[in-house]
Amino acid sequence: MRAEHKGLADLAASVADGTPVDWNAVRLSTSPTDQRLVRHLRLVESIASLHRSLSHAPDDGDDYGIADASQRQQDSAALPTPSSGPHWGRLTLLERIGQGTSCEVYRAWDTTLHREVALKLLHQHGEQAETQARLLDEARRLARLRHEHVVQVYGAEQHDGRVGLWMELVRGESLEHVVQTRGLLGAREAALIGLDVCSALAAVHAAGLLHRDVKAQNVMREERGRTVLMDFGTGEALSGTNRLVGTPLYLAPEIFRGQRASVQSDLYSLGVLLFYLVTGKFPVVAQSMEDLTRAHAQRRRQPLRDLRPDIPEAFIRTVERALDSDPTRRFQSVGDLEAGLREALDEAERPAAVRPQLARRYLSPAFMSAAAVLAAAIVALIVWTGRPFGGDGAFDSLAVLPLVDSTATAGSSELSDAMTEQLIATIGQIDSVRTTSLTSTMPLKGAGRSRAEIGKMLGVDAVLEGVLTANDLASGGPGRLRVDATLFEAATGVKLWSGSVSRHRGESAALLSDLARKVSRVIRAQVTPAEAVRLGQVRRTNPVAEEAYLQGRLHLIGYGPSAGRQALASFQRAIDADPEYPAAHASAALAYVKLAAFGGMTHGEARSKASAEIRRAYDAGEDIAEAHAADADLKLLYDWDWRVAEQELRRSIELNSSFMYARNVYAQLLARQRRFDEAIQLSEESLRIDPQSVETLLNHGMILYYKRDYAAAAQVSQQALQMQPGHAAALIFRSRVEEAQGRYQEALAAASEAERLAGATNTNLRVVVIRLLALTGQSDAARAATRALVAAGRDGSAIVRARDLAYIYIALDRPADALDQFERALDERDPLLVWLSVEPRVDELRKEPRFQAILQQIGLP
Amino acid sequence: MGDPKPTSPNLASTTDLLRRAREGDAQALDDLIQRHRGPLRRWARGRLPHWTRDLRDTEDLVQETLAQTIRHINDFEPRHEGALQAYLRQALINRVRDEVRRVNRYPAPTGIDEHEEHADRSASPLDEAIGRQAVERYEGALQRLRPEERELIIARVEMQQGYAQIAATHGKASPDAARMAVTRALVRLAEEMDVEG
Repeated sequence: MRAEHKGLADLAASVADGTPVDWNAVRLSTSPTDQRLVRHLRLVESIASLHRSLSHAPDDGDDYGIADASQRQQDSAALPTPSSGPHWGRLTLLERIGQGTSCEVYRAWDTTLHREVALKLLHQHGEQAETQARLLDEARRLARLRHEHVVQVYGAEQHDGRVGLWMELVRGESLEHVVQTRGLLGAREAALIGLDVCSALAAVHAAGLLHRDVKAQNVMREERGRTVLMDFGTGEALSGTNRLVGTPLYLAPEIFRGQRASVQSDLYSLGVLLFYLVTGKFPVVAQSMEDLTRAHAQRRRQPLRDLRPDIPEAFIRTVERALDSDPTRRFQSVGDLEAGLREALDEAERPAAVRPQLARRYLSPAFMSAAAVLAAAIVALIVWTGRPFGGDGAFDSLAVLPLVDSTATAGSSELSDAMTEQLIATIGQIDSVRTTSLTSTMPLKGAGRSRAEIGKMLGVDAVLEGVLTANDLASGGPGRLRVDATLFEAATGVKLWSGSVSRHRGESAALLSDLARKVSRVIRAQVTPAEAVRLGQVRRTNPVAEEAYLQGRLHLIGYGPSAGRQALASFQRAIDADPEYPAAHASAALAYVKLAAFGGMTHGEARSKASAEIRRAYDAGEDIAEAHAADADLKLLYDWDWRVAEQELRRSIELNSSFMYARNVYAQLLARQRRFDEAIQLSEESLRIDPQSVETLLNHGMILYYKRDYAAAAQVSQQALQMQPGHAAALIFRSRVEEAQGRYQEALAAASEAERLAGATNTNLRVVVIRLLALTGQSDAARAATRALVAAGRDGSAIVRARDLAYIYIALDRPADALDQFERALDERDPLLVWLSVEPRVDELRKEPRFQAILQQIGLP
Repeated sequence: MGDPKPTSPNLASTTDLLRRAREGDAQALDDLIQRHRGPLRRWARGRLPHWTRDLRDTEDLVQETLAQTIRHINDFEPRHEGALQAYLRQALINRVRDEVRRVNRYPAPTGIDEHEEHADRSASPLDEAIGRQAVERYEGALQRLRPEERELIIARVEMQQGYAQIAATHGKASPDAARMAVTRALVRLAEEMDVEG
């Protein structure tokens, strides 16, 4: 799941900044679900780019609101001087940038429209009048083409006996150059380029034209990643001629036989292009034209499979069909070839069960046997250890054990734990490294387990241990913090690295960032540019604010209302000491939401205060995972705005893929929308990050419960109670699962035990017990208990919500009363109504129109 | 009831200039025009149809619209700079429409580019560069955003304003905060553009 939602906000930031984006690279790394959003951002970028270009006209000299002056200066320096250079018509020739057998290409300045263009000036021909007229006619047809992957032709004229065609100036490199300088492309990248060229060719053919010279030199990749089909100087009307036009190695065999160019011959050339992109070679090779003609006649060529057996079958099939020597057996239209490439793309994106990482540069047959042995060894190792590890000695999973406190003064032990939590959150920003959550590593503090045991228990490749020394802590002086850390390979215990990082108190964020970067280098983690920027953007604060914030973080992962109150108090102290502390504001927002969830604060107050804290975190200009997660919770619980909530959660997880709170809430959101497969995938991944956490396990179990997979939910229930016998939430979960399976007595027993352990009156537990009294046939007892609960609500000794009564009335077989209460709950905007779409306990109401109306108002399926 | 408290120095001066311009202060009118002419002109270059060139120069059109609109705004009280800009943009669009109705003709081709004969003469440079359908999708999504988000995007994407400027006119604490707000708005915009499918 982590890789699927990467980078959307970072991409939007690049669009906002106006920095170049390689859109093809973005497409390669974007999940299918995000592709559409990426396309929309690309469109917005085009709009911005247009306005940018229009805003750079020489007379634009006002002082209100243009981008900073240095940018303006740079931009104006880049503009060519209109009046210098020779002229051709209204164009000033600035420099020659290419030359071919039939033409020269110039970078030129359009003195009428004030823009840079590319001018293709054709050499003078023998049969001038007819040829020139034909070329002008073709140029006019080309000028009507408006397509993002076709070079835009602006005009064509004749001056001084020469025909010229001017078009958009594409800054970038040809695919020929890409292959020659950077090596072969993978099937996925080649397929994506192929789709762009298909799109371009479809437009060309629809305009009644053929290209006739599709080749790697004629397809450009712009700086921004846009694919552009070029060189329409040889584009010819579909009525065609028999002249041999085009680069021979790309020409279809029927052209050599004297047949006319056609749509199918254009598709053949595209097939050759795709073949070349992934092999660097051509399907038919020869030393001379005669040899080439003979090779085609004899159907002498190299199959793609022999050169690249590693690439997906669908890609090979598509290219081979495009290269069929019989044009009637090729794809009959661009759309057909496009469909083949899409199938190839799907196959390339489908994850293999085990897929050893092969370098993009293809391993030639000479290495194949060695590669096969290596691949087999990798597979064997994966089977033995039960998990893959990255190629090239990289580690992709890490457990940070609780830092050892060497200072041993008041508060130093809590500081060590808090720094551990923050270190995990810092490394968690690196998406390529799965970092175990603190709830799973904290129980190992002082437990004396071996590294191999820890690795197996937590499913990690590497373990980081450290010792924290804090000077001046007791005296409250400036002092320093130092962490002496050692990194071990879990399975073998081999030491990978050891080192120290040290900073002043108040700079713990920078200290932990230093450590995270060192560790990432040792384990060869892939750190994206955006992640590197975030790791480098650390904020200093004063020691009082810092330590209060760290303490708050530790309380925040605790359970229950008192943990929420302690967290909030700590964050408030941090904010008092440093009012502009964005991380403290963001975490305070989370603390308010937590308090309301445990009934320690009304939802209205929590919403108002959390919103204010989120606003202050955003206004400080920092992009913080906690702020987005809290924002998502508010949207979910109070606004019922699923779309924006999902967006915020995705951003939160992008910023920190190991942030369990956001992951759990996101899984819940998906479950509520009946997107169970996605929810389960997410929660299974969460379990890998946090394997020792009962809360994460129960979150997973609830999704199974809502999916109606009661057998799997029951297993989770058993596992949770084994991990922590007597855990209240685990007992409640067990009660739910038993009830769903019709085992009401067992359900009542679990709920009663939970109520007994909880001690003080807990309305939620009371409601559960009352329901089960009714379901086990103890109706009188259930009714009496209901009356007592309602009375407690009236006298203020308990908070009884309409929703609570609704659930009780269902169990008492009073559906009309239950619906009345749910409607009241809807009027009150009870946040927990969001579960109604999937809650098994309301199944008997589902067919009721009133119930459907409630779901509709909440916006649930 | 007193005047609303402005939230930034720019807004304070804009409100004051507006009041004085309505009272007939020519200098105040000129200052306001100077302030808004550049961004509106830049926006207009991309957004107005090509044939508005044939009505008159874009520069003149913007100048004239600004002067007339500002002189006759009576009840408009901008809560922030972006609101006044939005008002002026709409005034410019309405002006162009009025001119079309009055003249009731499309000008003859100038013959500068042969391909102009085949171009859609009601298209703006944006329409031509991006495609009208795409522009409509973009504009439709823009309209569905919250006003603040919409103004942030127009300020940055269409008017090419710097983050410092956006922070000042939209009440953000810093250029970084303005950048983040623009980024969030762009993500919302992409989501809205996806709504139509």
